[in-house]
Amino acid sequence: MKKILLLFTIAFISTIAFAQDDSLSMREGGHFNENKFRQLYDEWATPNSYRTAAGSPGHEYYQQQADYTMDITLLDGENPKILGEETITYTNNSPDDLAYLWVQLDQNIREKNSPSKEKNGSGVSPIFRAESFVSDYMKDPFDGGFNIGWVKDAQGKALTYNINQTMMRIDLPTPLKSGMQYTFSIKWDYNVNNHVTNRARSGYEYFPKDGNRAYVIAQFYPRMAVYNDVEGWQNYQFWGNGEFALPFGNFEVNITVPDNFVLDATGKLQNRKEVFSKTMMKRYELAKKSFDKPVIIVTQEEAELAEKTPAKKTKTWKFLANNVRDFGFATSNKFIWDMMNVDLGGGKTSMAVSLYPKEGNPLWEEYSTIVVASTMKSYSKHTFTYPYHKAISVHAKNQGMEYPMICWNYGRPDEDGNYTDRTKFGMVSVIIHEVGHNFFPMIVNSDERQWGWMDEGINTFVQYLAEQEFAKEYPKVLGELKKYPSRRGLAKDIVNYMSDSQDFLSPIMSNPENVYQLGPNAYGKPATALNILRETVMGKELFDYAFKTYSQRWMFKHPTPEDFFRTMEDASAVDLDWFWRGWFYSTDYVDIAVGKVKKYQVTDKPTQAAKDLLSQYGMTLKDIKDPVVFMIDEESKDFTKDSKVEDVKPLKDYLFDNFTEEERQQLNTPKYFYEIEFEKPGGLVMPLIVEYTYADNTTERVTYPVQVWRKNDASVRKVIPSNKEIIKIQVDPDLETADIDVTNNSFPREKDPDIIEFEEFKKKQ
Amino acid sequence: MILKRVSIVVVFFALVNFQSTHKYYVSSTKIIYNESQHSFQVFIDVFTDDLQAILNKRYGKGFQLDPDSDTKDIENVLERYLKTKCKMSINDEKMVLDYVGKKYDRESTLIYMQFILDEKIQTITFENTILTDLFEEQKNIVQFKGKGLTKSYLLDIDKKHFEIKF
Repeated sequence: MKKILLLFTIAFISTIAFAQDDSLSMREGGHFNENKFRQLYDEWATPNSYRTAAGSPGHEYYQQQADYTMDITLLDGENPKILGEETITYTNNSPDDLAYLWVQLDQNIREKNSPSKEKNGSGVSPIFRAESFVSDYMKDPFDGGFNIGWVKDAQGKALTYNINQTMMRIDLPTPLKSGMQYTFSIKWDYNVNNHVTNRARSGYEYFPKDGNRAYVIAQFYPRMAVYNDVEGWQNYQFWGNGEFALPFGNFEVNITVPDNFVLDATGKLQNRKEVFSKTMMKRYELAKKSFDKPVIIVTQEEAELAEKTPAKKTKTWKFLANNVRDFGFATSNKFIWDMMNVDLGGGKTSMAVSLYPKEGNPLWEEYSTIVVASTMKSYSKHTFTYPYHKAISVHAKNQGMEYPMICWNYGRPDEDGNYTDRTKFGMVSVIIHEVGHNFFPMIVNSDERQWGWMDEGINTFVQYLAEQEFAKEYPKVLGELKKYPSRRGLAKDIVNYMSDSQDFLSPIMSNPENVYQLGPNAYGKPATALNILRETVMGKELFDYAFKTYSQRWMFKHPTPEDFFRTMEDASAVDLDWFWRGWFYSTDYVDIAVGKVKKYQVTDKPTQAAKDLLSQYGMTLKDIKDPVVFMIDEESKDFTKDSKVEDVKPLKDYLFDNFTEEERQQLNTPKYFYEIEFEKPGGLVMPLIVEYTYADNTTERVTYPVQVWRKNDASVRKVIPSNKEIIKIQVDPDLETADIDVTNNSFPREKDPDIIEFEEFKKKQ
Repeated sequence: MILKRVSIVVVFFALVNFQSTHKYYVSSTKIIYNESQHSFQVFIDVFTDDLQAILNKRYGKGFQLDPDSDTKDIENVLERYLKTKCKMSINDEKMVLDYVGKKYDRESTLIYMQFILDEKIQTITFENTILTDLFEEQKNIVQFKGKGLTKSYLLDIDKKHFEIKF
């Protein structure tokens, strides 16, 4: 040990001497802390009494409340319209007095002159399809957007308001004091768009064969914006990509539709006996008792009859929803309706419900409701027990959109009722995803306008777990497959995106309006990152506890990204700042390689390398009094033959002088010493997972903690003493880190897996 | 909301659409130059729904791109389509990529093509305009790997090709 110290001292002194020789002008400049493991103090807001450093709501955490009573009329017909009147009771739980209130008018994105239509650059394309040309340059745009009739206070006195694009400011006669309530009313109407031709999150689908429409309606009323401690009033307009930020509240909604329509919506139906036939009531009672399969409430036959029967008058459906952030409904004379009850454990049950036109069958009657049921159970297991009394999946062409308790989903067989596996799995996946959105962001109510990944990414992660669990529960869905073909979640599926050119990548921590590829950016990458965190970095047990803690802490509240990041660390005692920084704040990628591999043996013969090292410090072997052994590189000139550790004399003497016979028996006697250099061309730091294969074909898996990279981001060396020769070294053998270049992952280098795949494919042709 | 592939009709409107929920139409292509075998191996990963739509639009109706309903006809039209959309020149000379085959993987179709040339490579030009005849906003990401170089390019209706000089 003394000698080693001496050597270090010499090394240190010589460095100083070297530095002094250098001219002043050559001196390197300083630098800020750029270590990949530095804490995220610069990126994160300072914790306070609203939001704690632990990632939980603070002791002064508050959130506003908006309660609505609404009367809605849907006018079906060639140019459908929605008429509405609402009374909003807004409770100011903030410590601040508010001089004005902001209301969101999301329908205004489809106003003729909406600036959002001009948000993208455009060029004159050399080729134009006629259809495209007509819609671009010849057609009158759809006349959408809210027409505001009036805004009045509780006494019926007109209030002044100011509309800025998709938001309306209501000027209060006197500021709304902290802790007080304000009640006001709005009357409005708007033209409902066709969501199929005019792609949108809500609207109607027209069925030319029978001349009917199926409506999936949302963003249909002026909605309160969020006011909170991080944004003040939410003031980011609705430009189309960034979705919604909404306060919680209670809704009392009456919806009037033609009397041949059925309808379901967010909330508890209050007048079921008025709007259901006796047969439907009977079936509904059966459905409440059916926990294994759906019970049909409206049969296909009945729906086909309804779509041929003209409406005579109207019917009003009344709903009450408590503690929801939004309200949506679906209605048509084309809907088939089924439901079943779901046991969520602990005495809690909830109904799984589906509405679909006959065009969805036979796929929808077979899968929709059981997928809803399975999703509720899976998500409840990973987060908290689903708190609402139902979850509805509505079939709408091309749709995949979520609202509290209700969502619209795609997946349509062809006209003869045939469907491919692609359609089936697409449908199952979208139902899991959209029903899953009840948890994120409907209940864990993050700000979608600012952070797409907080609901889409987290939800896609749980979706992956729920898909795998669904296939275990209903293996029939798999056909000949062994596991559910999840599109997103596995590390290897994000490699293509992570290896794209940096010119069109954005960090996850970007606003949804500003990213290049929203799908992989806000859904795929964060979902995969969380999956990697669970499977590879933290382990399932630590991850699941922390993730559940986050879900339960922020259930019915408004979390920020930091609340998520902090909770995951706080509840697991795993510092993850490096992980968030790399995966969420940067566009870095994983690329870890096996570099040089040197094989040493131990010998008592002084090597040239050892002599050279000593002579650098003006020493010779004679200056070293303690017994020493030498490591000899097999590739060096003075390497002779295999030597055995037991034959190395100084070592043998040392062992006999210092250990008893019994102790000596306990010692290992490695024969080979490998020095392996691992290189890291990629910017992301990750645990280093290595599989060593020995000459007898046994393997050993070693995971070096991510901390191996903290002092050298480019490469790290490891020594493996071994009795057996190593014949193969493989980094990330199970492809669990999303390493973008696996051609450098092995020693000796193996063929590019892509080339192997190509050749194997070719053979099969 | 879920981001998914949408039908052709929808996409025409997406151009004037202010609430398009599906902004990007992306295929991804990998070209690997295997120096020892003097071969270029090309993998194209494209959304099956989109591929099916363009094949039906260009070459007739009713092709179902699905393992259960695959036909020789589909192979033929796909090969024809790829010939017009993927073009490669080496050392300024036009080459014809050989279609090897395709397979389906979840929502994607993976297409395999190759080209063998025993010649010193000085320049490579690759053009990929797949699906730009269906979607004006189609982007085709192409990654080249070989001769110690890994580089990716974003191609679209305006920028149709790239060139690498060695």
